[in-house]
Amino acid sequence: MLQLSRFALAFLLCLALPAWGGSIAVVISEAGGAYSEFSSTLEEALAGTNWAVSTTAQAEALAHGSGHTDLVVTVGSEALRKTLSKGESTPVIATLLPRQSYEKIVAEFRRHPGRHTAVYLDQPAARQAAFLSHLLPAQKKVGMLLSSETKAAASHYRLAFGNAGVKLDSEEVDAEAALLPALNALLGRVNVLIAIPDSTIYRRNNIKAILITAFRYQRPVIGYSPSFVNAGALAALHTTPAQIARQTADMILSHGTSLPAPTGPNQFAIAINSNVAESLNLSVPDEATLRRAMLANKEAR
Amino acid sequence: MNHLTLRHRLLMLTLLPSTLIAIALVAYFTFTGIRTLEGELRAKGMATVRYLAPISEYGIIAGQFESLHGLAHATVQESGVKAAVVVNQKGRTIAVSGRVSLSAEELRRTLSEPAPVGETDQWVAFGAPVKRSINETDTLFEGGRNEKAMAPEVIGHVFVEFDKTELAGKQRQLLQRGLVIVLFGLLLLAALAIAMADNLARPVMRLVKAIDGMSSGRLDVRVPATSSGELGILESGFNEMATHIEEVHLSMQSRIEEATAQLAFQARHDALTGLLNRREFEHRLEKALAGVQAGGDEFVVLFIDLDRFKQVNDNCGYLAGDELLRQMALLFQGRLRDEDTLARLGGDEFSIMLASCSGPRANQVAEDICGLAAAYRFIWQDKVFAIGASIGIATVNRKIRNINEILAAGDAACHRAKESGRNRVCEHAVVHNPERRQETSNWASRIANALAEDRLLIEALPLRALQHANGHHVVELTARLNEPGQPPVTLAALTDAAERYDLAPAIDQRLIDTAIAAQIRAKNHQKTLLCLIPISRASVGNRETIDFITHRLSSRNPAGHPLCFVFSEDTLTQLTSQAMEFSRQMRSLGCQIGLEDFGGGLSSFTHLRSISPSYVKLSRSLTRDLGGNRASTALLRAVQEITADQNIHTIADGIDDLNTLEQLRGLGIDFAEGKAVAPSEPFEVWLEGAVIRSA
Repeated sequence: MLQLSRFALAFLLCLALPAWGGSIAVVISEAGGAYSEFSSTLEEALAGTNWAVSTTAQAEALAHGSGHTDLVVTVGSEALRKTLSKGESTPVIATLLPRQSYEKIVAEFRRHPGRHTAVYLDQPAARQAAFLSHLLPAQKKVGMLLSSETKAAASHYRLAFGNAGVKLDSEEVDAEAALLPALNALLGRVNVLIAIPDSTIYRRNNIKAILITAFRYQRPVIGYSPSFVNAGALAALHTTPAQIARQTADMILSHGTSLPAPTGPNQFAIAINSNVAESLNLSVPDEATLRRAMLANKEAR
Repeated sequence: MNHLTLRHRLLMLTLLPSTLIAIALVAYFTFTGIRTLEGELRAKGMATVRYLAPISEYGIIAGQFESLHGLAHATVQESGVKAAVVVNQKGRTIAVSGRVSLSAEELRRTLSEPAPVGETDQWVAFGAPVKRSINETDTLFEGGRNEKAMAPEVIGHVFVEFDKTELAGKQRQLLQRGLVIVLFGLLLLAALAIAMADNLARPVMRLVKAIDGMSSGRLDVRVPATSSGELGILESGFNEMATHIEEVHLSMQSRIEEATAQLAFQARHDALTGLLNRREFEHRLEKALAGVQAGGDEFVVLFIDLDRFKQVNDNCGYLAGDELLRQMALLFQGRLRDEDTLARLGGDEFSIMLASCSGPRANQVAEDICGLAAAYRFIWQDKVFAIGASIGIATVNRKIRNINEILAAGDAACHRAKESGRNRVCEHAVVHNPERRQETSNWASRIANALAEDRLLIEALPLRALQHANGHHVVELTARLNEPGQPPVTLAALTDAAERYDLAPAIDQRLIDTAIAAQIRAKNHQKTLLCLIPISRASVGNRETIDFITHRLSSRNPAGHPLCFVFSEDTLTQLTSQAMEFSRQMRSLGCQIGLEDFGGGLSSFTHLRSISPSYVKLSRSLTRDLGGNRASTALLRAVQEITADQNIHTIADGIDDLNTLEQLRGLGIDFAEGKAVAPSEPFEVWLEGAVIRSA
């Protein structure tokens, strides 16, 4: 249905702006992994259109004035930062980065005005709420750690969770040392901990401590990436690089160089750690069931 | 090394290398064990801190000191752990258990890896950093800052101290065990080695001992041949050798004993007759004398001297003499009791010790033996000899001091028997005069002195013509040795002795001189005197005597009746050719020949032809008992007939009674002499009285 509407939109656009296209430069933060998956999926999606990926370069090796491109797609935070630092006027679509990073980098390069938009990784609050209510329908008290960077988004979440009948509680953490005390305090009050991307709170070297602490309290943690699930979170709602790439391709095809406003991912994937569910004595539906339920619920609305 | 015995060498050979090897091995393993223990402790320490560090991570991060204390306490419960300390990033101790020896400085140090941090003799400490664990998160969500290069953050340290006394104890135990093993092994080895050495050395030692024994003369020593191999061969070889040596030794010993016994027998016995010899006899005599002196019975010793043994010896050779001696020995032996002792003292002298016998009984035995000897006839080839025995009796009583007295007495008695005409028994009281024997043995000087000092008394034995007296005086000359203080010695005995010393011709010459002088004197008085002169055997075979007679007769030139030289039939038998030559010579000088002792042997009659004597003196055995013995009478008559036929005058001597004289006359015997005719008297006296002054 969505697909059909997208095609209809593209068709209308094609009628309005007939026969325009251009070359695209893809800047990736690093070679391999998610970035390669993204770029290859993007190329696939653009094949047969007027848009073509002319160059694919790593952010480190980005040269000044290397030919003319109509559009730049950056993959990852580092690629965006490097691209912006060049101060060119080519429109930029930033992908595969958290919203927090996008806003921070854009703020850094405010002096170089340019056109740019983003498809970021953060899941919409409503989707998170729906996911939670399908995953753990019994749990009505959830907690969230907030930093000064994510404080602003808290109200969205509180609203979205409220709509789903779930009370969101939160603790603010501003310093490293305050993390575990804040976590302890929060876990004492809530049943589930929901993590949202926040570079000042969730880091490689304290994720284990956070997960162990939550496990002590027998509280499940809902993360935001498959790695989080691997590390010990119960489940995560996320979007894969391929999904983002396809979304990006759609954006290019429909808007061309007239960039739309930054947006979240419109597709998602679910990861569940069944070992953790067993350890916590939770019975959770499998990923497919959950996804179907979520999509059905969305349509029903 | 050289003064060690075989056993010691074997022991050293087996024990020394094995001891060294055992000590080296056990030392090596003990040392390795100690090293391994230390290594184990080190590995355990490292492992402990390596495990403890990650466990402590969350406690440090979360500040859960109680759980860290629990951890430290649990660690100290581990064996060998003395103390456990957890310090935070700044080196401040946040959990501790046990007694910590590490200084605060050491606790504050920063480590990058688990490592030993301190060690003394009593303890060893290990430390490890507690690192914050890094989780792989989605890089997409990292805030663009590159944190990948960052090393894991060190958030604290753990230290664990181990007590080394336990290790030392274990090491000591290991060492002790090693020593015990060495000791036990060595003991076992020593026992084995001793057993082995003994096993090898014992047979050798047995052999050595056996050889020692053999060399010290114990030939019966043997070794048990129980060993195998070369030792067994050695043992059995030794035994065989020893057996052989012993056998040889024994056979030699027995041969030596045989020879010794033979020698001893020979030393005590006479080789010819098998009787005791003089030495043994004297020895037994000494014992018997000692018995008498100690109160035993008196006994008698007979000294026997064979008569006419010399004739047998000279006539028929030594073989015959030896045979005679053997026969006589058997003869005597047959007459004696078991307790009597018969011995041959030498030559023809025998001696008999009659145990517990004296007086008349001894005399009886002596007479018996004498009769035996006289009756005995010794036959050699075609010759028959009459043998006699002169026996001296010596009685042994308590007064006798030594055997020399007995011997001297016996000898003297025997001598007297011989002097008094042989074949008789004389008793001689033992006188304590040992010089007697000395003197008898000194005949040479005695006779020489007697001749020089003219102590030889010439006597006359007048003969009486029995058939037809013609007024002729017939006399036989004899001699007697008169010495002061000594019994007179008869001519027979004198001649026997003189012949031994070659003095017989001198005596003969004296007789001849006397006879010639007497004939000359008789002739001067117109009397006819016929002198019978006994001539010794030595003179018969002596050229000098013939020369002497020839010279004397030619120088003195006696006329009228010639001299008649009389020698015995024995002389004729022994020196037949010399006697015939002598007879021929004398007859050519106009002298006559007479035979003495005629008819004693069967050969007598052959002599009549070869010698053609003018006179024969009949053997006394023919004339002795004419009384009632017809055989003797017949024999005498036959002899008389034969001699008469040959124109030979017969003479019977030793006629002591008139009865016999008449019988002889009846038988036709020509002459007789003896006490029945006239007693013997000094020749000069007889010549003066009977010849010169006769009518």
